Amino acid sequence: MSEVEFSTRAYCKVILHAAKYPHEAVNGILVSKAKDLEGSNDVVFVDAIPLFHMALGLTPMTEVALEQIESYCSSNGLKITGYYQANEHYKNTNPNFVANRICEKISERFGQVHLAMVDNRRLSLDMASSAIVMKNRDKASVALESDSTCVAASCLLQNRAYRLLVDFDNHLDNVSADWRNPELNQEIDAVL
Amino acid sequence: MRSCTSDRYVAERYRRWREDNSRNSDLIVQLWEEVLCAKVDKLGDEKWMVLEQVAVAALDLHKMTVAEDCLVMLSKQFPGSQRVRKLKALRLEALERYEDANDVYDAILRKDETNTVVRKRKIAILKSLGKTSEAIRELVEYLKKFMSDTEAWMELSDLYISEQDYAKAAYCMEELLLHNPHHHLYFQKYADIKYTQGGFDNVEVARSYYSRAVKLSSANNMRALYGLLLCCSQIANSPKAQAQKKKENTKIGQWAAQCISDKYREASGSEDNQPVEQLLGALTLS
Amino acid sequence: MAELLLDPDIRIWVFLPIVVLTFLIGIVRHYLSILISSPKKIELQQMQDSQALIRARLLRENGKYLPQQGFAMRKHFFNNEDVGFFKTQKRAPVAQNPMTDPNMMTEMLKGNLTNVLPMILIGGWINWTFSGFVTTKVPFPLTLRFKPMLQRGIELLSLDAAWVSSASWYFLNVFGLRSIYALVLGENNAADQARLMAEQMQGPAAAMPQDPKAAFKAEWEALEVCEHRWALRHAETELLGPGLTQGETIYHQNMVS
Repeated sequence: MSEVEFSTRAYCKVILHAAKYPHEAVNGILVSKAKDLEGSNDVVFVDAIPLFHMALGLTPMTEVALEQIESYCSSNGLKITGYYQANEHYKNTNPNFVANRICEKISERFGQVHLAMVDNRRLSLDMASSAIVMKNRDKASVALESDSTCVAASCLLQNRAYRLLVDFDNHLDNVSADWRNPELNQEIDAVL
Repeated sequence: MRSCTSDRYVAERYRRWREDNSRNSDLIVQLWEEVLCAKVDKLGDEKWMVLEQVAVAALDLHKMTVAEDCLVMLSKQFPGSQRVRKLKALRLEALERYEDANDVYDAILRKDETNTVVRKRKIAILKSLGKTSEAIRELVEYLKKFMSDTEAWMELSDLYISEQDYAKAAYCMEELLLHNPHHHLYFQKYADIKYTQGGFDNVEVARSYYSRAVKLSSANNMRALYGLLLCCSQIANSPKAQAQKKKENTKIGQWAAQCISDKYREASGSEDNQPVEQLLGALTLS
Repeated sequence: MAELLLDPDIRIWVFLPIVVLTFLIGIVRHYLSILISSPKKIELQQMQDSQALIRARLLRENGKYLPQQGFAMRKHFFNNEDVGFFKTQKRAPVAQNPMTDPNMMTEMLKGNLTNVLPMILIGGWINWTFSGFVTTKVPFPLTLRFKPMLQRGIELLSLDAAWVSSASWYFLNVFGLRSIYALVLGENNAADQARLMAEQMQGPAAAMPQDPKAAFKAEWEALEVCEHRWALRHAETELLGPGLTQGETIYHQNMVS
């Protein structure tokens, strides 16, 4: 069984995105370093790019977002390798048609894509283990960058760092908000 | 918020959130615990509405002690009130005791058939249980009686989208257009649904609605601008379009691209706009 | 027009007492209306009918923003001979005479008692007590047409219309103290006269007109003659302007020239 690894930055951003909009479904893209992928089967997600918290089922903005992320990735040596989603329904970790459709679209253009679902039940202010479940065909197991990743995530949640997070919906509401989240990245690095 | 912690200021914010019906449960409970809890008696008649607001927010965050404290105060002041009873049922919902909550709602409805809030709560319970098709069915029945309830039409539209029934979602969205014919967000969302539905005709309709959204928002609605660009690209690239149409769509698409580009330039000063230029290049015609 | 000098006693004994009086009466009115108000009971069918009529009206007014099919489907829903809402929903005709309907009578009486009556009584008393002199000057110029209204009891032809009598100062207070009421009594207070009047205007629209059968018939006819003319036919041209090039369009306000 294969394994995927989440860097602290990627993991924290996924968790914070889900925490910022607890009553909505959220989704986003996971990226890895392009040169790491050459000649290796292991996937390490170095960053997460939060996409939407509204109207996940509608396609136009998803298309725009994917185009922007693609051009950002190609100019920064990154590659889209995964997709994450946290469902609206508390106990549901099954990917719905949105997840399947977006994964299909991504895999058409970028090759294999990993589907990560957030297990809402495992989210709390002090998490001991990963709250992410991989839902690809081979059901890879999730590894975190280090032992302190969960602690960092819990710490950020307690400090309400999710208020700093900017997803693509926030960016469309206010173009000066940066979906690359440089401020939040610094915050995450500072916690470590 | 950090500098001004006076209870008057907080009460004013609470009032605004009540009027907007916005869901800021985290902030509401945080401000309650930090500021308002000790000074709630100073609020006068507003105290009860604030307690209700905090109770609902606390239930949203599953902070049961805060919610229960508020409920106790409300029950003491308004014994036998249907409104407080509804809050108690909401608490049962938060505890996932849906059967009990439904019983309370049914009892309230027996006393007052026209209570729309309680009817909608029952549909929300179906949604919580994941019974989407039943929720849709009940909501349709509800709307046969209360056909001007825009909140319900909006919810039904979202439910249909989650079931991929875009035609029906568009129908629901049209109701919202009837109620708000000058608000750009509804035109834009309707166009989103039409675009998602797909097909040449639907994309053409989407284009018109995006155009109207752009006009109503004075080109400030980014989603509408992007949507317009996407529609024009798709139509211009479609084999069904004749030369005249291709030309027209190219022109409109370029105009939209220019607007988007200007917005980014304005927002970022004169920073590197490369990602946007690339995106626009990819989306527009060569 | 020379400036008038008012006796400072007017300020102490007329100007301020009127403010205080209006304020206190407003408070009393608020608590009185709370005491004597009774919760309105609406029937389910009444609500359904009023909502249906609202929807049909909106369809007529704003149907042009919908695509042709959307409009046609809704028109069919309401007006179709066999299955249309206005055709299949039968309602018993109801007498419209307010005198015979006891509920409406009591509501009207209560409304008048708490709002209109005190205003007339107090206004009249003030006019009688503080008559014969000007109380204050409004800070903006007024035309001569306002004189008979605002200068009741002062028969001076050459007096500037900006000088007003105590009765008009009273009425100014009734409407002006709304924000003070909001501060003191919180929102939704019953002392808010302007809001009450606005609600009275909406009242007949929100409450079910007593005869749904006639209302349905009228709405059916109005909708039947309504034709759909799509307002978004030229949405793109409106945006770019006919033949306008980029940079000159008047709709894009942020265009960098």
